[in-house]
Amino acid sequence: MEKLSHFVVGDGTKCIGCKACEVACHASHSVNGITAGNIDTPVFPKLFVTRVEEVTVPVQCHHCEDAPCAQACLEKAIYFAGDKVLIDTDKCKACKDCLMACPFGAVELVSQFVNGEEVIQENLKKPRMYANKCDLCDTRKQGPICVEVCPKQALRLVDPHKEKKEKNRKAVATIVGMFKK
Amino acid sequence: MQYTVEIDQELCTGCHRCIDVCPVGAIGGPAGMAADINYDKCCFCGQCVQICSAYQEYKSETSAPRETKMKDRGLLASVREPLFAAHNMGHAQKVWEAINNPNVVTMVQCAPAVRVGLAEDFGVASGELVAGKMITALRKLGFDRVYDTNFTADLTIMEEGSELIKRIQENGVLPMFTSCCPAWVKYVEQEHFELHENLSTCKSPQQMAGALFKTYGAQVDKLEPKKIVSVSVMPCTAKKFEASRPEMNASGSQDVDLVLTTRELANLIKHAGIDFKSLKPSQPDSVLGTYTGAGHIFGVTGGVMEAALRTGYELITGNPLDDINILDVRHSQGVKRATLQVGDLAVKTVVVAGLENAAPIIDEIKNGTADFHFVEVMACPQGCISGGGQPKVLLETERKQVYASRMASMYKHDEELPLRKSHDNPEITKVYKDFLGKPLGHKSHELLHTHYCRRG
Ligand code: SF4
Ligand code: SF4
Ligand code: SF4
Ligand code: SF4
Repeated sequence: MEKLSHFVVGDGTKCIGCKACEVACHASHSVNGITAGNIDTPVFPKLFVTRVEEVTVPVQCHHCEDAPCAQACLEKAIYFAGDKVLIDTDKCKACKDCLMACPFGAVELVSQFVNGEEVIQENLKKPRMYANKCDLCDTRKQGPICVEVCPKQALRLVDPHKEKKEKNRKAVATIVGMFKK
Repeated sequence: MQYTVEIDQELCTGCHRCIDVCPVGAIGGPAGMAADINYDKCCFCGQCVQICSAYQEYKSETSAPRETKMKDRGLLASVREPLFAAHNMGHAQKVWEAINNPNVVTMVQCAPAVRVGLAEDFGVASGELVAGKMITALRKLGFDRVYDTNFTADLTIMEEGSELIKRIQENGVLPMFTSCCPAWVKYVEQEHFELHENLSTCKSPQQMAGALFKTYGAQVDKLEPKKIVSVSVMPCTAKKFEASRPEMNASGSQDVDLVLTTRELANLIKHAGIDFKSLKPSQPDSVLGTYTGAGHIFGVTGGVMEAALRTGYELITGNPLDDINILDVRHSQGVKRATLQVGDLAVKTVVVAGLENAAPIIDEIKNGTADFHFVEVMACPQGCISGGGQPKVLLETERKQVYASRMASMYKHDEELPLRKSHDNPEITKVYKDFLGKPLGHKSHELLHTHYCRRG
């Protein structure tokens, strides 16, 4: 069996909603420079810090094994690269099928910017858009930057297989504990 | 009073990271709700501005659109970077108007730390020194006179060093506190006013420059002081407050009219379409533009102390220091104590980096156990290089390294400069000869010294 794909998950009990993860995500994908002055487009994070009542936590792509987004994409713009679900933005036609198909709302449609300028489709007089979502910092050697920068260590990269085994072990430990009593 | 730092209640997510970083406990708010600043405590250091990462989302529905918010914040309409919840009030719009107004003469000064931060906002690695390019950019922007705060940093040393010696020799109030950090000054005024006489009466370099531009500068250039708009570029958000203090009008009107942060200067350069990276370096105008290494290191924690000791040692002993690099006062992480033998006198110094670390020193003075002579306090963690107006580091994980690079660059420039002691600055000698007379003299007293007021 192929390895299950990794994904980043947030802990709502730890997250304080600071958006440092969003800013870092944008910075690592779209900014050349270390300071805010180098940001020359709107911030387009690939994860979305979301508040529900008292709790905030980022929502992002789970890199689903059956990738409903990819199944829905008629342009075949969404594909598996190793164990990551990625989007070929050149192929994307911004039809929003992936947005509809994703159970987490992990996809956002954003405007394309080149050299700080929004790309406008001449015949439509409308910005050109594409689907955007977590790519697990595909080109970054050290892995997802959001995990690194969170000041509360509220994010972690999940290895589902390990996670499952760990839970199995915990379950056994609990059962053993029960018998020992 | 100008509230130079604000939190946009609509953009604040209530993460409260600013509460942790505020050195004076001025920020509060119920958990998970927008944070609020208590202006009776806030000293405008802008550390909250540096840490906040909550920003206005693209096309988000806020009561005011981005354009309105930018205008309210004093930002130029061309600014692209996100609007963060914690922010400072900007002067860039007004500066833009001034440099495009043919009826005024604009004079500008830049603080030491600006030149090791500015390039970062143009995509350059942290800490690169761009003093020359910065001067060229200011000329291209249309400033009529480009002077330098580093020059008045040297002047501050002449006055402050002489003041310290006088206090030591004449049993004056000791320990003497440095007075160049406006956040620290405001803090003393509101929290420990009984210690206000410990503050040096010297104005900060920014204010000394402002006072000189509109008096001496005007005289040299045969200008009407009223026609001068004096602008400063500072790594600091509290400098905006300092410039607006009513005492700061030695020239007859506000000595520094407008204060830009380093970030705002970067915005202004971009607004004018200047390609910063390809600029050829140039020199500031004389006389108020020449500086030594001592003036330059004002931008780092321990810098004012080191600069003062370089000159003080020579004034007292008549001999130069064996080693001009006084490593004992550098790189303070909180509180750093040192003793320097100056002739017969063991001068005891304390360098405090970060306002939150001043408390134990203040306690010692109040309970009579303090045995030190001179205390430098900088409100920001590494001194001005880490000020609230410096380019905003995007990743918290990189902040330490960025500050370290800025600091290394400051000391490197000091080492490279031909003159490294304030009293060796020939133009300082000239200003005293032609205009000021002598340190602590009558004219100095009028223009370069100030007094403090009780707050709260
Ligand atoms: S960085 Fe961490 S604490 Fe901040 S919003 Fe993201 S997950 Fe939450
Ligand atoms: S975008 Fe949504 S549907 Fe597609 S892989 Fe990610 S979580 Fe699954
Ligand atoms: S101002 Fe910024 S740092 Fe402070 S609580 Fe609000 S979002 Fe957080
Ligand atoms: S400016 Fe400084 S003192 Fe004022 S609230 Fe912000 S961190 Fe606190």
